[in-house]
Amino acid sequence: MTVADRLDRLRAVADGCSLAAFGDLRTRLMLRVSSDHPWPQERLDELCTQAVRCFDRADSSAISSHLLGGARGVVNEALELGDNEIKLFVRSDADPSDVICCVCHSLTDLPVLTNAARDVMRDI
Amino acid sequence: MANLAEVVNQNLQQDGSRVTLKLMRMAEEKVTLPRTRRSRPGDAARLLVSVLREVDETVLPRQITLATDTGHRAELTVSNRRLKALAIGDMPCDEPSDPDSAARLFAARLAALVEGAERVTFSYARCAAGFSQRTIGCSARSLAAAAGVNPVTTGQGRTIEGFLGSISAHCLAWILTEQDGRLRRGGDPVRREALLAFRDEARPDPQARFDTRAAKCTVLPLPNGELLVSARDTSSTLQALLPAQALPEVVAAWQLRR
Repeated sequence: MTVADRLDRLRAVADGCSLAAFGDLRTRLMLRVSSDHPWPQERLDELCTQAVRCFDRADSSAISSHLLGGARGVVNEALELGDNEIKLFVRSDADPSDVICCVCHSLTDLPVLTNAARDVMRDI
Repeated sequence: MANLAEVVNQNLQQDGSRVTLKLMRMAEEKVTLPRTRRSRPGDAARLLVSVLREVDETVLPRQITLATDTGHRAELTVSNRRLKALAIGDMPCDEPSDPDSAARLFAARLAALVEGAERVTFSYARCAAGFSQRTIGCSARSLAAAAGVNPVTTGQGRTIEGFLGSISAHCLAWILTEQDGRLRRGGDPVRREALLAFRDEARPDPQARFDTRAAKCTVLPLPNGELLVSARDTSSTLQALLPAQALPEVVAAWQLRR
């Protein structure tokens, strides 16, 4: 099964998921996209940049040293809230530059999308 | 946009071929991207909002063909989030003299176009080479105002203050920094100090080129079961810690903030 097939399947797990994409955080490139309509390249670039910004924050030493009190733990999920949509970013546990982005419209889609994105990430 | 060949070369020369292998693998897969989009069914006002959203989300010059399920068609020329020209059937394509006139004219024509329709379909194409960026046009926000529908996506005019007001009862701790540097805070003092450290470490992304003025809200689910919420608009920034169960309240408050 291709990456594109996996992203199509991921998008299908939630009716409200309008986009699922696989990207590389280090190069800020979206490598493969499944969407219900064409996303302009500049919006895909923006999406990847948003993911980078989220995980830059997630990796800040303030989180590990102050907010988690030195406890171990990596933040590999992030949400960016819009007025009409929610962007979910899931980073790979194995390769911290791999990311899956999903755009959905309902909070109820998040748990199933998060789990499915983790499964896809393991398979890619 | 990064140049693919440059990225490949860079990675071959630098730290091995990890990204290159990814790119090669993707290149081997054939993918057909959709060229059209169908709106969700709705009344005329909802369809009009979906048209305005297309305008608001289009930065590079695009020719968008709109077709209604009642058989009407229109050609929208859109660039830089502005509707530059609108051609409907055989109707002459007027060139309004100012943005307000453009908004009124285009909004009236679009409203008439979607009247009675339940669904619209969008098709996309690049603008012809002779496309002029000088055409006045109008923004989606102006169109929304002229058409009397709710604005589309930008979130401008809404406040972090209103957002905080909606979630503060759920917050374990929060800090709000106003544009002049004034700090307001609430909740657990230890967590507040941690939020200050986090705020001071966060720096604006120098590579961010889009929506720099738009309000933003990021939620990080922490391994300890708390949510770290960072929000900002042009006047203030907010950092807050909430229990994970408060996520629905955070989302609702962000989307409805005033």
